[in-house]
Amino acid sequence: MTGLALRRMLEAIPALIVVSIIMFGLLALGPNPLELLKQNPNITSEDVERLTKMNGWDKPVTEQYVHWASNFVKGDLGTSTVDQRPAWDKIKERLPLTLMITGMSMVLSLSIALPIGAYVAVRKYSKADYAATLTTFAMMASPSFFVGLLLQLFALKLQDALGGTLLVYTAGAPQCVASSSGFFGTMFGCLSTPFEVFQRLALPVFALSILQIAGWSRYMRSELLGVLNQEYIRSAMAKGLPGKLVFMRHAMRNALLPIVTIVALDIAGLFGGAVITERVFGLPGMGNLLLDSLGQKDIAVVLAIVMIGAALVLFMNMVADVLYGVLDPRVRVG
Amino acid sequence: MGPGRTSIFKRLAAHALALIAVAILVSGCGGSADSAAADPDAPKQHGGSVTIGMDQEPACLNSKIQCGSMAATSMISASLFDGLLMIDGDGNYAPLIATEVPTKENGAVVDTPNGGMTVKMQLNPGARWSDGQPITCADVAFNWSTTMDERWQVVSRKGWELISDVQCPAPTTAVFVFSERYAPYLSLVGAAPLPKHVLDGKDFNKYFNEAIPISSGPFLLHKWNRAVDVQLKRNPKYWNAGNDDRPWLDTIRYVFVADTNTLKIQLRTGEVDIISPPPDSTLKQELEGFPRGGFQIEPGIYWEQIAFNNAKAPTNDINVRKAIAYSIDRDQITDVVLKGQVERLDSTLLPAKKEYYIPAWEHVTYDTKKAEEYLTKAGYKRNGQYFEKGGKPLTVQFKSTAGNDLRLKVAQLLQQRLKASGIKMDIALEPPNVFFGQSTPAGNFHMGLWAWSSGIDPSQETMFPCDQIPSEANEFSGQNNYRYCNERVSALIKQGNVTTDQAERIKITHEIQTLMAEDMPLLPLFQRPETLAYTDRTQGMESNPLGGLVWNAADWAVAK
Amino acid sequence: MSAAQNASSSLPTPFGKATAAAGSLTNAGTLNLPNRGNTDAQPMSAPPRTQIQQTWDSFRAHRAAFIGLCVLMTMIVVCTLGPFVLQDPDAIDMQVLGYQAPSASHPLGTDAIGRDVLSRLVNAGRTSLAIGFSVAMGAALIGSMVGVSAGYFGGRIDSGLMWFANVMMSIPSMPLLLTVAVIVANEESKVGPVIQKVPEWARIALVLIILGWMGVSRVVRSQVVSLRNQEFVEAALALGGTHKRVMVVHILPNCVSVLAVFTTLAVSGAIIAESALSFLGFGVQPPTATWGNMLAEGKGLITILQYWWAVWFPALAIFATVLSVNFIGDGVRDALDPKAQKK
Repeated sequence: MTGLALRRMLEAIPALIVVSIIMFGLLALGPNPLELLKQNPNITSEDVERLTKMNGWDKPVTEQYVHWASNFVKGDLGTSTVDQRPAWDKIKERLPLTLMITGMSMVLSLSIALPIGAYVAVRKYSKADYAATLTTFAMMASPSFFVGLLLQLFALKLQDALGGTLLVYTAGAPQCVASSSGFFGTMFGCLSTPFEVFQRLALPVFALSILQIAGWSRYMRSELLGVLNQEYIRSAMAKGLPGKLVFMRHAMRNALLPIVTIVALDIAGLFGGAVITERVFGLPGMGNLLLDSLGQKDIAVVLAIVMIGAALVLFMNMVADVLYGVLDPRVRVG
Repeated sequence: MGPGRTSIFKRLAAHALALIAVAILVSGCGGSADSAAADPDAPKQHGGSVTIGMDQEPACLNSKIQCGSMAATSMISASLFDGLLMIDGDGNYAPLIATEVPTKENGAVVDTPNGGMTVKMQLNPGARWSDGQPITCADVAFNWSTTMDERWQVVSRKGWELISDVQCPAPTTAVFVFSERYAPYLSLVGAAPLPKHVLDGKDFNKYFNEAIPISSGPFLLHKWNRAVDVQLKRNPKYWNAGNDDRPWLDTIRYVFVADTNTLKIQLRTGEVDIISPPPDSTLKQELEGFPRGGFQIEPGIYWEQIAFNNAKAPTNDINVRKAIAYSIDRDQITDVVLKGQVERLDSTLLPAKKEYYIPAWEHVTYDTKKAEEYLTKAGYKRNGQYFEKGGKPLTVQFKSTAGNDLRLKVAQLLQQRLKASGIKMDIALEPPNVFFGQSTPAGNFHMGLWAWSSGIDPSQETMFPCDQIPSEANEFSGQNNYRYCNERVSALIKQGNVTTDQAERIKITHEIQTLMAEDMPLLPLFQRPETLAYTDRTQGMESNPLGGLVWNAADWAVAK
Repeated sequence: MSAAQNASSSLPTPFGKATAAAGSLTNAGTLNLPNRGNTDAQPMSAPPRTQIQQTWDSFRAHRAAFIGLCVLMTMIVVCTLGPFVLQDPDAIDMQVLGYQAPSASHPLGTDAIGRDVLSRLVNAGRTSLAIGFSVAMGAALIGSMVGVSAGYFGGRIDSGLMWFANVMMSIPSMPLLLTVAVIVANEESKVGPVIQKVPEWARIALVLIILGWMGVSRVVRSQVVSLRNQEFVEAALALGGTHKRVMVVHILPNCVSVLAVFTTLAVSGAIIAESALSFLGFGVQPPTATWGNMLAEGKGLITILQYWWAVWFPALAIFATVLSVNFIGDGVRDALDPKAQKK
C-alpha cells in the first residue's frame, strides 16, 4: 500500500509540471497586469518600471516561467502585485473557511444523499423513487447563485416572521474565522462557538450541498441498483440468507466502493470551486480570493491557488486509489 | 430496511415539511414587527457598536502610499486621523485641529513678492495623539516631509511639490511656504498631521500597512482580521471629545462583502448597519421598502456629462454641438433614469461649490426648433428622417462604458431624442478599460458619456486647458479628451489656479463657466446620487458626499 | 491503471467536474451506462430499423423524458422562429423606460430599462441554446476523437492521451474556467485581435468546450477498449479495412449510445455554466441577452419580489430547459441500456 501511494506521488510530479505550464501559458496570454497598473493615475512611470523589474515582466515568458518554477520548488509561491504580500499568506488566511464549508457540506450531503439513494434503489419505480428523481433533477436544474439568493430571501422572511429576530445570517463569516491563531486555532475557535457558526454558515453550506445531494443520491441509487442486479446477490438471496443481511453486508459495501472515489474527487474539485457560494454569501474563502485576484490580474496568487488545487486533486486521486485497494481486496495494483 | 425505520423517515420528513410550511406561511402573511427603533431625537447614549458594509477590502491601511489608494483605505483612515481642516456637512472647509480656515481675508494667506505665498495655521493647543502626546507643528511638517520623501511610494505629490518648507515658529503654529501661488492650497494645508514621535526612523512603506498603533481621531485601530473585518475601538483620549465625551460608540466594524446586492440584503436584516450602495433607478424604492431603516440620497461628487470631441468632424462644428445639446432633454434623463433622485446639472462645477458655481448651462433646454436652426447654420438640410450634407446623413458616434444600466438608459434616450431632431446616433458601449484606456484619450468618439469626480476645490486645470489635450508633450497624461482649445479659457484657468484672493478667483471661475457654456465642449447632465443607508438603531447619520461616509463618526450612536 | 482511470469506473459527467461548484450536475449519478453495457454490447454497424424503433418505443415509455423532449422541442422552435416575429430585443419602450408588469403590449412585462422581456427571453434562448448545443457537439467531437484514438491504438498513444486528459481534469475547474474566460473576454489579451472576430456566445462556448472534452474522452475510450478486440473489428481489419475506416465505420457507431447520453447532459451543463459565468460577470456581456445574464441582471431583492417577471421568467426558462434535457438524457440512457429494457 505504501508502495502504491509512493508511486502515485511520483506520478503526480510530471502532472503538476504540465498543469503549471498550461496555467502559466494561459495567464501569459491573458491581459497584461501592466495595462491595469498604467490606467491607475496614481502609478508613476517609475513605479511601472520598478514593478516590471521586480516581477520580471520584461523577460521572455519562458524565462519568467523558469524563475517562477524555481521559486515554487523552493516553497516560494510568489508575491501578490496588489499588496506585495506573499501569495501563501493570502491563501493561508482563506483556507480554514473554505475547508470548513466544504467539509460541513460534504458531511451534510453524504448523510442525506446516501440514505435517500439507498432507500429509492431498494424501492425502484416506487412513488418515493419518482419523487426523489424529480427532486434531484430539479435541484440540478437550478442555477446555484439564484438558489443562494432565494435562501437569503428565506432567511429574511423568516426574520420578519419571527418579529425581527435573525435566526440565520444571510452573509458573512463567523468571527472565529477571524482569529489569527493559525489553522488549528481557528478550527478549535469555531468549535467553541457552534451556534454562531451555524447561524453564519447554515445557508451557504446548504446551498453548496444541494448539488452534491442531488448528484450523490443519484449515484448511490444507480450503483446500488447495479449491485443488486449482480448474480451473487441474487444467489445469496436464493440461498435464503436474510434480505437485510445480504443488503448490508454485500450490496451496500460494494456500492459504497465507487462512491468513495467520486466523493474524494468531488471534494478536491470544490477546493477552488465554491466560488459562486462564497460570492453570494460574502464568505472570504478561496473562491473570493480567486475572483479578486483574477480581477486584479494578480497572477502569482491565481497560480498559487491553481497549483495547490491541482496538487490536492492529485492527492485525492491517490487517496481514492488507496482506499479502493483497502476496501476492495480484489484490487491489487502495482 | 424495516418498517420501523421507514416510519422514522416519514415522521422526520413530515416534521421538516411542516416547519418549512409554517415558516413560509408566517413569513408570507405576518407583518414585520417593530423592533426597538431609535428615535432620532432621543438623547444619545455611550457604548454600542455599528457595522459598516463595504464591497472591497483594503490592500493595506496606509492611505498615503500606493497599496492604500483604494477608497476602502481612505475611509478607514479617515476616522483615525483628524485633519487640520475638515469638510463639514454643508460641503465647506471648517477648522478641526487648526483654529480657523486660513484665507487672504483673515490674513493667514500672504502672497510673497517672489511669486509664492505663505499660509499660516494655528493649531489647537489641546490637540493630542491617542498616546497623550500633543499634536504640534512638528507633526504637520513631518507629514509634508514624508510626502516628499523619495523613499516612500506616496500615492500623489500633486501640489505638495510647490511647498518649499513648513516652518514651526511655535509648537502650535505652522507656516507653509509655497514657491508658487496655488489657489487649491486648502486641500494641502488642511491635511492630517503624521505622528512624528511614532514614525520617525520607521519604514513608511511598511510601518502603517498592517496596524496603526496611534490615532488623532475619534477611533483607534483595534484589529484587522484579514478577509473578515477591520475593527476600530473608541479612542478614550480623543482630544476633541467635547462636553459629550465623544465618540459615543465603543466600536466600529467594517465588513467586506463583494456583492452589493448581498450588502443590501444584509442591511435589510440588520446584519450591517450602514452601507453606501451604488446608484440605481430602483434603489430609492427598494430602500423605502426596508422596514427597519432610513436612508439619505444626495447629489454626489461624480457628475455625468456628454463630452463632445471638439476636433473630429462633425462635432468639431460648434453649431452641430449646439444642435445636439438642444436636442437633449436633460430633465427627462434625470426623471426617467434616476426617478428624480437628483436634478440636472448646469455647470462643470457642482452647486456645492457655492460662490464659484453659476448655472452656466441653464439656458440649454430641450428645443428642437433651436436644434434645427443650428443644423441649418452648419449647412445641413433635412432629407426625410435625417439632416444631410453632401448626400450623407448627419451621423455621430456615441461611446460609453458597457455594463452600466444608467448609462445604457441615457444612451437610448439620447438616441431617440437625436433621431427626432434628425441626427443619427450610433451607440458603441465598450469595456471600461478600453473606453478610458484607449477610446477617450485617443479621441476615438464623437460623443462620450462618462463621469468626473469633483473635489472640493473648483480647480479644473487638468481637464480643459489646450495643453492638457493628450499628446506626446504631456505623455498622454492630460485629461482634455474633448480636445477643447479656447486660449482665453486656458489662460483663465491658469490664472485662477494661482489667484489666492477668493473674490478674484470667483470672478475668474464664473467667466470660465460662461465661456465654456458658449463653446459647448460638453453638456453637463447630472450628479450621480450618493446614497447613505442605515438601520434605524443608528443615530447621527448625516450624508456628506465631499466629506466622506465617516466624517461625523464621533457623533454616531446606537439605540440600546 | 492510473488513479484517475481507476476512478473512471465512476465516470464523471461532462461538466460534472468542470462546473461542480458552478452549479451543474455534480457527478456520475445519472450516467453509468458504459461500464455496464460494454461487455455484451451488440455490434451495431448496420442496425436494423426495428432496433431504432425499439429504442424509440422504450424512450417514449419513459414519460418524463418524452415530456422533456416535447418541452425542449417547443423551446427550440420558439427560440429559433420567435426573433423573426418579435420586436428588437434591445429596443427600449420609450413610454415605459423601466419595469412594467405583463400587459397586452408586453406579454411578459419589461425589464429594468423598459425592454420587452418576452422578446429578450426568446432571443436569449437562441443564444443560450446555441451555447448549450455547440458545447455539447464540440466536446463530444473532441472527446470522441481523443477517446477513440486512445482506445483503438492503445499503448503509448492511449496512456499519453489519457494522461493528458487526467492532467487537464486535475486543474481546479473554476480557476481554469475563469482564467480562460478572462482571456477570451478581454480585448487587451494577446489573443484579443483574433478572438474578437468570434461572436461572443461562441467564445463562451469555446471556453466550455476546452474544459468539457476530457470526461467524454474517458467514457468513449473505455467503450472502445472493450470493442477493440472483438471479432467484428478483427474481421474488418482482416478484410483489408484501414484503421481510419474501421474507427469511423465500425467503432464509432458503437459509441453512439454513450455519446448520446453525454451530449444531452452536456447541453444542460453548458446552460447552467453560462448562467454561473454571467453571475460572476464573465459571461456574454449585455446588451446581448442570455438566460444567464437576464437572471443575473435581475438578481436584486426588489426585482425578485416586486418586478418578478424580469427574474422569474428567465429562471423558469433555464429550469425547464435543463430539467427537460436531463430527463431526455435519462430516457436515452434507459432506452439504449440493454439491461434496463429487461425490467
